[in-house]
Amino acid sequence: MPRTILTCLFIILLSAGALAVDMTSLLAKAKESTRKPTPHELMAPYWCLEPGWHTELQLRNNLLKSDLTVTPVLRLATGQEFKLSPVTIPAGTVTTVDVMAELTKVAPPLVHQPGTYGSVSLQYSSISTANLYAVAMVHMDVQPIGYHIDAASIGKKSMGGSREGIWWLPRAGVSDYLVISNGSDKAVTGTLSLFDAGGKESKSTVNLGMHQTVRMVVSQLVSSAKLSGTYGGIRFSVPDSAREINSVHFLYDPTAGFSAMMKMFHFDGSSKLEERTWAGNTKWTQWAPMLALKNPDPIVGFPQGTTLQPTIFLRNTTAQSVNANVSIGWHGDSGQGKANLPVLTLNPLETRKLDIGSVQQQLGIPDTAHWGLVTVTTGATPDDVIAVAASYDATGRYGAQTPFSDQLADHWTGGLWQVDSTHNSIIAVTNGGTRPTDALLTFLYNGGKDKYEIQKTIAPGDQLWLNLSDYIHNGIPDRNGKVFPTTLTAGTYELRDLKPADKTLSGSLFEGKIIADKTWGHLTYGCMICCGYGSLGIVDPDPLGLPVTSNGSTTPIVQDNCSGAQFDYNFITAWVSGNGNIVSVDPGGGLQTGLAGGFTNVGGNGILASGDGEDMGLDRGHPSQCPQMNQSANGTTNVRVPTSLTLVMSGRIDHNGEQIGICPGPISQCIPHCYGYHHDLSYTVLDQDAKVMTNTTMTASEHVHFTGSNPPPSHPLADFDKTVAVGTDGKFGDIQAFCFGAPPPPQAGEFLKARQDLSITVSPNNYPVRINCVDDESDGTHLTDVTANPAATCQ
Amino acid sequence: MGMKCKVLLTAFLTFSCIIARAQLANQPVAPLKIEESKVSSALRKFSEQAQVPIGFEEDLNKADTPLKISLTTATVKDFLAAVVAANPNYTWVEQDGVINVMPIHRPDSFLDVTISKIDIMEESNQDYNDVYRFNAYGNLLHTPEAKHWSERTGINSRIMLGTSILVPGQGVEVPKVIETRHTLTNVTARTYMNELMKLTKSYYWVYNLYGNGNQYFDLQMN
Repeated sequence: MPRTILTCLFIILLSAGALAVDMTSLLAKAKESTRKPTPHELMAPYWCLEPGWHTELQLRNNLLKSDLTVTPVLRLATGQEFKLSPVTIPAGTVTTVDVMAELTKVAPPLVHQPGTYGSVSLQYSSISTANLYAVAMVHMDVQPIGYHIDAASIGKKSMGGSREGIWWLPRAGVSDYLVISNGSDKAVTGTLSLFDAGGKESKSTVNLGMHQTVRMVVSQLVSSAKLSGTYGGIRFSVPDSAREINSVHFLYDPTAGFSAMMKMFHFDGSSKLEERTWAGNTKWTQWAPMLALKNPDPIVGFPQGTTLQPTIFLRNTTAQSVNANVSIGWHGDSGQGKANLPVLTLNPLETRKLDIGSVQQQLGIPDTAHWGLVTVTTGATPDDVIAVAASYDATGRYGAQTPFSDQLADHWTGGLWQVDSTHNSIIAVTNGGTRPTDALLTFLYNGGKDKYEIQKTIAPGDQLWLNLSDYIHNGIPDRNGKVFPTTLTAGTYELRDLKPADKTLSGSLFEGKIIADKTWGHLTYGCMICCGYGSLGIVDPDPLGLPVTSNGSTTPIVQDNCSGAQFDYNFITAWVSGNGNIVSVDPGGGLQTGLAGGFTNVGGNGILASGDGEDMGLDRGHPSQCPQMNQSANGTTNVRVPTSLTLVMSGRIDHNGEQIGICPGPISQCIPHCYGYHHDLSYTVLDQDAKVMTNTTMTASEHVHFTGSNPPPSHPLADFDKTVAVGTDGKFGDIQAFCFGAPPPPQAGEFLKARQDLSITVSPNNYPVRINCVDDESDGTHLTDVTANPAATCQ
Repeated sequence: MGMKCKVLLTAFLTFSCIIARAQLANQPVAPLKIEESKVSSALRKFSEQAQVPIGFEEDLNKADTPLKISLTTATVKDFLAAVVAANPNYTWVEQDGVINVMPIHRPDSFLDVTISKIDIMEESNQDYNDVYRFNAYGNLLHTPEAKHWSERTGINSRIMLGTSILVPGQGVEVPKVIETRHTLTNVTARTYMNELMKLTKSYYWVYNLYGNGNQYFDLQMN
């Protein structure tokens, strides 16, 4: 049974901070993003429909609810474009595009012709680049040979950098391709360097026109450059536009049924360690979660007696010596353990091949061990060492790969998983942090309408292994008691760290997946993409209406770049007020205090687990990475102060000895016998924007000064002051009464005049809001608003 | 001091009555300078400055002699002596712990009416505002003795209240006011006013007649 093993690792890491965020409750409040869709593009650097090859595109819509329409554009190596039919993908589902069928519709003569290969651009309008997960699956016809070519976003910000890789010529008869594609709208000239294992370099210039692809054979290049050995380094450096370049390097041998992917890495030298490393890791660390050890796991279905040769390639990309620590956490039938290799010193630009299989016994790894979690820790510079792992038998027929990645995240989305009569999917979730965390694997099926959730706590450095076939066919209930339909064969999935680090939301999980194909006897892989979060740059609420002297806060609005789920989350660690006289703000927590009426800007910035850097305008690293980056958000705070009152006044209500006031009540508020009348007044407190001030602790006060009366008093009537609490609806009342203690009620000519000053207190501040001239006459109270004339005497 | 202060139920009123008696007039006062055309105005100003409770019954039979009083070292008694020296139609007594200034000739004054039973309400919030006082006057004027006096003399009260009662808004907790009833028996209207003034921590009350035929009387306190 011919077998090829393609391995792709999905790495999900959630960072570990001192405190963890309850992601479950945070997501429970999430809603669809309000960000407006904009054009986005992913590029897979290779597709092929040459004779003997075929390609399919797997497109997953990561959005929570909305459909996503993607237009694939095939580009030949010359850059010539062929736009395929748009594909609409329902939320949470994967759609497969048969490239041959689609190309036949638009350019049938190209199908299965030499030279029918190039890159593919996937164009769509959405809220974030990461809403689409895309992969080009390139297969050799009727062969266990296939490659998983990840699509990545195109960085439009020009900056220098390189693609770094490792070449490997394991045996005679193995062919290879090095593919370099230009996703930019302009020509790019770069330098291709090949290194032998010792770092000896051979350079050549490569010109790439707009959207062009160059496909080279490394074995020929090595020969031409007179480099020796069977492995070494690859570098394709460009002075700018490095983020618009993508590349793949793969090997194949149809005779042996062998294929391998030599993962390449983006390097620009500008990334900082703290942006790429967290969760308690203090050095540049990479993981490969599913290294198949010498004795393969029976679950993968290799023939009895198959012995693998697990191999790790390490390459120092720098011009300095670098020390590397390599450990292997193994597990198998007899348990699990961890083995540390002696510290390795890699010379400048050196590539080293570690034959793990031959030293397994020395390392104390038993023959019963099947899998290894490889951890490579080096120095303080990201990407100073790159690594590739491969594990094949001596013929190359049987084996698997596990890609290295430095990426930890709290949210990953993956492509297709398959479990049927000829396939099974094995998933390993690893905690790369230094504290336990809860991992949630969600499997979506039935067109994204149903889900199955597995939640497990994973100790630091430990792994959760899932044989998906067992879960489906054994009816194992999920965390909600739900079981998979036994007829289920495929779906998509995603992974979350439910306890990411406080503030940054950095997770500490990564994931690897192998799909065993029993027909071909090989293992293919499915890669996940990290999602990260993007600050929308705004806060909720905006504006914040903050009553003076009160405290309040706003919360930045953050978006999950994959799903578009939008929620309020305070990632800001440095809050600043635009005007400290209007609003003070606690720099760490963001608690605001209104000091004086007016508007000002309040916001800040903080480190956040970021998603697609292109969307966020990040100027370092590759857009497809999910680094911790500084992001910001701000909004307007309107400190509200009482400025005026609205008044609704009733007509005159006569009394002939009846009570008036707040009755029954104390005699200071209720007049049991009035011979006269009263009016009911209802005041509403308004702020400077003429909006009602509700839910504010306020009191209303009056100062009444009598200015005249008939009959004249024997001595001046005493001024008085009264205060009451304003209602939560911003209202309070006033009873204007004119009474005599005995009949008759006020007669013509009898009057009482006063000036009433009304003010509102929002402790400790008092705001004058209205002045009334009150004229109690026999026919009723005549109230005149003289607020505009503070000197009014009201006589 | 022929009036008898009889206090029931409230030790507070009894105590204040006893302590104040005979001590108020000798109380030293800060240097003062008062120039007023009317006795009422001078007394009111003095009561506020010296914080000495004074009740005043106006004499309608004689116009006031303007007062120009300047004292550097003095007692309450010295000030009162200056007032009555300029206006000899007035006299004063210290009664119920209150200085009572009144006309020497005051036939059938309402303030001398004896009330058999009357209540004074003490409020826990101490909010003895204009409404409280208006009600307190009403409490006095609605007694049978007061009504009988009005019927007999043809002089009626015409106490005016123009007020504003602020009403708390909805949803706010209003502190509860506890009222304590103090019952006075067989006290004159004057004593009632004196006790009311002390309870409310006021310093001045005034009683006067007005109207074309002096057919109305008024009570004010502040």
